[in-house]
Amino acid sequence: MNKNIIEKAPLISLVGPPNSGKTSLFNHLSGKNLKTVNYPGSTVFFSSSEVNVHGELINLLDSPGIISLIPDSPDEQVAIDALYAHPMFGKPDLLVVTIDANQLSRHLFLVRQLTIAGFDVIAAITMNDILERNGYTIDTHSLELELGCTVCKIDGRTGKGLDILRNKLKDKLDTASANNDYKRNNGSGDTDELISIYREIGNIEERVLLKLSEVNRNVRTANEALNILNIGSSGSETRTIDKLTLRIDRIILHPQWGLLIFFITMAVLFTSIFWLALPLMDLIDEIFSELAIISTGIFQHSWLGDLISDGIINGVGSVLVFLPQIIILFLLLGFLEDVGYLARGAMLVDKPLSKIGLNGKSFVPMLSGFACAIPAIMAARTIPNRRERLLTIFILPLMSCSARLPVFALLIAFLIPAGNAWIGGLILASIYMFSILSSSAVAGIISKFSNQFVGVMDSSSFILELPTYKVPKIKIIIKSTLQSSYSYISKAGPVILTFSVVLWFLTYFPNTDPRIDEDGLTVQQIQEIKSAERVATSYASELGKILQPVMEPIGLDWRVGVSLISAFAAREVFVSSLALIFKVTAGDDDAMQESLISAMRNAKIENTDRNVFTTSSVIGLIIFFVFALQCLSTVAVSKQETGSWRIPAVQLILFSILAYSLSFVTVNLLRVIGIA
Amino acid sequence: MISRLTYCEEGFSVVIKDLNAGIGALQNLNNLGLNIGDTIKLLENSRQEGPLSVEFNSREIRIGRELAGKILIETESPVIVTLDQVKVGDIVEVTKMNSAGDIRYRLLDMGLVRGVKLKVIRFAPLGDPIEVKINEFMLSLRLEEARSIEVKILEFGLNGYRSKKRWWTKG
Repeated sequence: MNKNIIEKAPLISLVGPPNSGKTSLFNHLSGKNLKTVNYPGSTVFFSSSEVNVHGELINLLDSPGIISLIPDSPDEQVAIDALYAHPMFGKPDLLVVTIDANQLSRHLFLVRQLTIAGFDVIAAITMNDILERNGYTIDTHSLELELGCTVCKIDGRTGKGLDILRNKLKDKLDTASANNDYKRNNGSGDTDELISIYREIGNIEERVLLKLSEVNRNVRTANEALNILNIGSSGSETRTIDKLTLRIDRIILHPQWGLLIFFITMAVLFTSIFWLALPLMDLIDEIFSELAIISTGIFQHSWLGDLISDGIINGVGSVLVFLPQIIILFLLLGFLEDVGYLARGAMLVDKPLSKIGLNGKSFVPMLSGFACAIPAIMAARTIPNRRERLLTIFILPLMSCSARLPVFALLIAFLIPAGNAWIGGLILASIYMFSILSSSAVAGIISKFSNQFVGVMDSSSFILELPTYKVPKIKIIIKSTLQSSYSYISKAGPVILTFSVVLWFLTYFPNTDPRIDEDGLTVQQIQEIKSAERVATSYASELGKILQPVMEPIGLDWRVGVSLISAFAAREVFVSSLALIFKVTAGDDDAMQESLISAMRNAKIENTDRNVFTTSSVIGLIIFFVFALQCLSTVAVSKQETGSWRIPAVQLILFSILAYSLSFVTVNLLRVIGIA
Repeated sequence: MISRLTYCEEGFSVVIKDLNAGIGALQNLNNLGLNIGDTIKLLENSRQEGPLSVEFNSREIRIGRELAGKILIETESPVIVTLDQVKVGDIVEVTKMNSAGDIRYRLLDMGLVRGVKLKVIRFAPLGDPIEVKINEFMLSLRLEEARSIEVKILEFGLNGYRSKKRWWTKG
């Protein structure tokens, strides 16, 4: 194992600002046919390749674009961490930094930071043809003197200048290994000793380099040096930007038309994740309930069989059911980003969102939150500022997601007599308005105390490059969509599955095979009554009974508590769980809702003659559902996207307290003014 | 130096150098009696919002902020202009970066350093953020961030003047 380190081929990392021609250089060097990226930050993944440079094998690494050594987004953080120590490849021996000749003043910044931070750098200048077409050229020799590193010109399209680059790579690598006294392993005995020394030095070096304060200090001196230096050396102020972009912007960012176009775009986006995903989600639901039936057929109704069909198969189903929305949202988002619209849309709505400490880029995730918090939280990745991203993720569970609809539908149907559909619609609309207002209020308050809540000190900002409009690269969009879907399944999936199996366990054990009077009942009725009995005597109901004193102040009893616990699997489960615990059995959905409502009307709090469901307690329950984070999948994804349990834990606790206390206040206020 | 009336400090006397206005605004200014070459004294200017109050021919006139922005004047007093106060079409040079912390570094990353030239492209439909052309790309930033950037105006945007003139307006 030790030998690997010394035998390892030298590592060359390709670094560069987004859109600087980094990926096309990688393609040329590696011979792979990866496509060039368009929007800042769309290579979220690494590509690596073994390359032969004049007889020497090297590892070439492509990385996400970075503007500077101070990270501003998770992508950049990953790229910068990997610069110092890549999780798989370790430290790079040499950096090749791509620089767009047309954006020298900005891109040289990175080179400067890197050299001052102590990296071995070769600067590869790209897009020289465009610069030359504009009547300019770069004197590489004086640039080398200015920067103190090797500079060469390349052409990412034709591959011109690559041989010179390869020569310089080889030279650099040879001199670098000589300077470091870097010996190749020739099998002699004392290499082990050498290796251990190397390792020690390497470890010390890595420790020092990874220290953020140290890194930042280097970067800061680099910044200060530059602030005085102000490289505008190649003098190119008067060149024009893409005419087409300017012309399109005149419409897209027009005071009236711009807003209209924005809202139409967002409406299309929302309806696609809401309605387009629906049949696919139903399909997944159906497939998994079929699978559950098949497995029940194989294993019968034993606890093991029920574990497989109800616990595991349903759990997998509840992981996969979010995929259609995630895929559709990320495809559309990737498209808008790649075309260049997303940045402009964010600019249009930044003003109101900045008032509550968010960013224009929070809009799309917040809108998606009305369909489902899971894809919405994942979409928050597009927000570059960490503080604003965490804050957006924080309030997303408050958006009234579609899983709350069946619950609200049931509770509203209870509140108003049948036939008054428009009053129901009105109530539903006001619930949505209420959820928007309350989430804005929560965001506003949290952003004031964001240091305590999300633990980030960044300032809220909107400093964004508006990229030129481009034809989207469909392949890249699909690739990164699949990447996101995969990371959801692999990271959040196991957590969601575990949670749902635990929940199944709580609602199933210990009374796995309750004894009931089976006279004159069909097989299905026996099963339904059995499962009702099982839930009523399960650990969940024990928990619910412990919760009885907590439920009483908001006018409810332990049976609702049990349903609330099972609703953690998904909010809509509340309805079926309520039906189960009130022993409502009926065939189709409509009949079920009706008989459930009549069961709710008759339900008394145990050992008393007071009704469980009254106008006040149902309104309280609605308030509870507006605020409570009744969704374990959301918790899992929030953990996945924020990188720790801190934020999901704070969300869960805070929103539960908020939900409970507001519902308590509502119920008791209503009682005071005479509404039972 | 030449500046907009809106950027001036209270209490100074200034000379009107140019009226950078379209037909309607020019008419309004003429009705007020203001012409190129007149000397006026600035009595009241909040720098942020609300009308300005000037003394002209020993009477006090109140001028709306929008209209006052179209009056270019000559003044000896130093004028500090920040990037949030500029108008569409202005070409400015950054003279000082007052921003602090992570925002400062973010702005520096984007190439906002002393001496860099910006062209103001537009304000977003809701008035915030602002879009500028810097070096070779478009950058959008909030007025709050722009407020910390001091600039010198190299060229005043036409502000509708001349560009709004159509063939039927003749001259």
